[in-house]
Amino acid sequence: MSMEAFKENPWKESHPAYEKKTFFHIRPAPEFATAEVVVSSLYRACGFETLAEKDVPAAGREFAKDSQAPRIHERSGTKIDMETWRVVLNGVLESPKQPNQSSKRFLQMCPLVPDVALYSGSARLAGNSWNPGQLIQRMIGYGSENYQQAQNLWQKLYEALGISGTDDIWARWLHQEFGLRRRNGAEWKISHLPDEGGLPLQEKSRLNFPARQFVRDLEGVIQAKPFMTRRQWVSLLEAQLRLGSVAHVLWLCDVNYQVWQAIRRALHADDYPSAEEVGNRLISCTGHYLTYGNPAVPIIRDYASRYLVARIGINAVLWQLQVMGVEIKSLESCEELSGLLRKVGEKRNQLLAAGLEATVTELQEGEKNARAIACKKGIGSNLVEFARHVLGQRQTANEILRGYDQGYILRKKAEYSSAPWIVSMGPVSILALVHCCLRDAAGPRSIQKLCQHLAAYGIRVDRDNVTTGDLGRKLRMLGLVLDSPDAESGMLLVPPFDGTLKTQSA
Amino acid sequence: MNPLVLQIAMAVRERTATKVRSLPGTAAELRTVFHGPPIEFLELVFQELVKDGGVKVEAANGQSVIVPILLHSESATEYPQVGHSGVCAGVHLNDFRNQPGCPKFVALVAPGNHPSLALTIESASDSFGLDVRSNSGNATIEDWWNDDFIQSLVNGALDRFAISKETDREQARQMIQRSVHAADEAERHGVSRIGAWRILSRIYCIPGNAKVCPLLSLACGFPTTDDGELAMKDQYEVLQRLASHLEENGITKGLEELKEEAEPADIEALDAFSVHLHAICDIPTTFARAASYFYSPCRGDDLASPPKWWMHLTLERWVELLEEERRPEGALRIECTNFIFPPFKGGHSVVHREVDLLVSAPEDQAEPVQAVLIRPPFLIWSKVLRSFMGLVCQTALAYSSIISFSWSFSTTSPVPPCWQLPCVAPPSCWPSEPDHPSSRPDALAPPPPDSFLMLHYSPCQNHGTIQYFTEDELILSPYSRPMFHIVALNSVA
Repeated sequence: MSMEAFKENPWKESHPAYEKKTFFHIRPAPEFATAEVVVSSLYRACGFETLAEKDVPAAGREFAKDSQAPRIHERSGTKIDMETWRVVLNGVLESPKQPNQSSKRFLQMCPLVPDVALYSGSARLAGNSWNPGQLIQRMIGYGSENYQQAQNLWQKLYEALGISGTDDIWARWLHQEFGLRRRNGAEWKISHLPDEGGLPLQEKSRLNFPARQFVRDLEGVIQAKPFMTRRQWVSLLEAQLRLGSVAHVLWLCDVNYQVWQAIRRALHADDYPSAEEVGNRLISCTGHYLTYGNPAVPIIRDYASRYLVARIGINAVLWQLQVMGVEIKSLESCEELSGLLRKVGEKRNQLLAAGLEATVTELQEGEKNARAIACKKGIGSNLVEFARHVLGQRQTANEILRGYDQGYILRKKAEYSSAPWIVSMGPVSILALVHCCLRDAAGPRSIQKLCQHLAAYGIRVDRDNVTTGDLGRKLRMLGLVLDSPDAESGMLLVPPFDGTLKTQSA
Repeated sequence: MNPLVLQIAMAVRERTATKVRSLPGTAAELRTVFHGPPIEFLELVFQELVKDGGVKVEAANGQSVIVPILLHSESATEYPQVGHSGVCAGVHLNDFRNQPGCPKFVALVAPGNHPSLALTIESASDSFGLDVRSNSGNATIEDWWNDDFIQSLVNGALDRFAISKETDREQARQMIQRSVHAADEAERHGVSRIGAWRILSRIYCIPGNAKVCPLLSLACGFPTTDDGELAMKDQYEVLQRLASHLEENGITKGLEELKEEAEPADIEALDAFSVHLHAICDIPTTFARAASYFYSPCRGDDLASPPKWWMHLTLERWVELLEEERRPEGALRIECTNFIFPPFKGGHSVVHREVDLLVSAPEDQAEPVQAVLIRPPFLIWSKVLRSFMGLVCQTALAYSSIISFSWSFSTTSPVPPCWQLPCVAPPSCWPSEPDHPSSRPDALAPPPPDSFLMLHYSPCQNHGTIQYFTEDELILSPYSRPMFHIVALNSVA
């Protein structure tokens, strides 16, 4: 690999330090996925490690075929008749097809129990799919204080995703029936969690970024499992994964851009931030990515575009430094990032003399890359697809099932097909959010805390407008707030699942 | 003082005076909150209002009353005495509300900056200016634009202009609206909407006797017109075309391309525009999202005199520079040879049943040209593509968001000069449809055998489409479904 190879194909030939030893490189590269695909893929990443994403569609086709073969049905030892099982697969468990899938015949099921993930829920129906489960895996590593904590959470997640005696009868029955028909020797067994902590522990503790909040909230969602049915819990988990995964990707896009801006500043002025300043100014998530009630996709496209520009720029600098004999081995901490900026400053004249800026412009604006940077194709387009489909409410081919997805973060502003996607959370997302927000609170919490919680994921809500806006209306509808006109602090949040606990014990 | 500030101050004075005069006596209470512009403007409004110590009102009985003005600022550490104007934090506003000795005041509150006011001050007072919901962080720019107070300010500005025709007035309103939307996009729907307020401020700086188009276009961030008449639709569209051109080619290269056949004066202006754009926006996608915001040479509260490049690059100059027929050097030449109607500028070639395309390499091209034929995944024209591949195919990239095939040819290679694309069904060996979100919901069957085809090729963008339709559709909806795209991969000069 060399500078020339990078110039030839900047998306494939990243600098080794950027590719393998950088905490802000987006790995795995997100592509199209739906929320259910993320959950299914997480099942596989957590407990069916041996099953590759690309093998899922074929396994699904085989499974669907087997479910219609009387001999195989009898051999399984099940006590239900074949027609009933067929209705379970194609009716009860079926996840609605999207408008562009209406004519396709394939098994698409709600990921209610782990075995469902063996046969459905891959990002693509053919070819190599990317692995959203690995993205969640990495997020857990990033957000945890240390590897031990990450492993503990991974273990808890594995146990919660699995089916045990505490799960409801419907889940246990499904688990049993799927178990009788399990193919290809798959075994539900916890997979190894790679030690990918992102940043060093001492730096991580003083930074704020979405994965840290996500890890706390994931633990909260796991804790809520006993208070609801399996279906409700999976929806809750799905809502949390949606918000967390997209916020994480947008944060990484932003960090890339901030790093590139810092490099540009170092190229033109003596501006070398210390490791602490790098953490506070470049890495910590201080602003917001999306605004409640406003269109989201153009902003997501903007972030993706900036990421691509930054990725080319950072790699060009790393390759050029290598040509000049300065080897950057890793960028895994704020300290190392600060070191890179210092080196860029020291070598400023040589870098500029070597035509670095012209090279970057050439790469960013070449015919091959301009459309990619404009998110019309390639990585940028995939990033936008990922965020839009994971956050957006599922569009269904069957109009009757349009309310299937209630854990969305984005919804269409109006009925017409080209209506913009605006930030407006669905009831399940709001339940998940309020639960997580109140989980570690000793006393009452007002909606201010809810706004701060959303801000940790980069979504801005105007607190003073919650009472009259869409969020306030939904909070009231779900019984999640106490309106207190006399209280100076306004609305108080009501824990959604503690009441359930009391009812059950009573 | 900024005319917008004076206008807002006048609105506050008039409203306060009306309210005071309607009170039963001078001792009656009037606690009111004005929801207005961001703090940058609100401070100026405050300074204007407190010139006389507050709003001075002559009551019906001849007595005069001074209503103190309180500017809300959470960073304020001190607060004025009861009954006096000044800057104070929210907690002090609450104190004033509770003071019997302070029966009247007008509080000025900036957008999204009314913590602890919503349920306290407002429940014991009335409010005016913007609706608090339109001025909040969760309101959309449409809510803000449609607010009565904003509309009254826009109407106030339009009334000042020397516009006689109603259509011109409507165009001016649309231009302001587009510009405000772009500012909101660029600022990512920030709660203060400072960009939108700055546009209002700039349009208030336009002298009433001046010709409207150039100055309004300057204030709103559009290119002006040669004849000085508003042409909002064209002005907007040309910016969109520029944005999409820069998105396709990048800012530097896109502008370089425009300079290729430009005159020296154009080149100079384009160079200056390039400097302007690079200084404020380094990502073409960002420019495309809010073109007028970034195009505008004026970004402050006042209407500065326009730079040379803005005066030179008028609507007409941009139209000429962005002319589609200006085929870039090194572009593939694609022509339809069996059209039914002769092609016309900006129109489509229509053929019957099949299309004969003449694809030729750029002039003076010795090296092989790499080109790509892109088939959207929902289309099945495989046999045609395979016949291409049989000839000169190099690689096939299946299952990407678009399926593409690359081949190379040169003017000297033995490739037939004309490729026929008949309407055929796909062979069974063709891979199944990939599952991809870009797949259209209405996945198409092969075109009916007696269908018409329509070719549109834009040499400037190296991009062409062929659409098919039946005879009925030809009459009803000729712009139906794109069949495939032909894109030149490399521009070889």
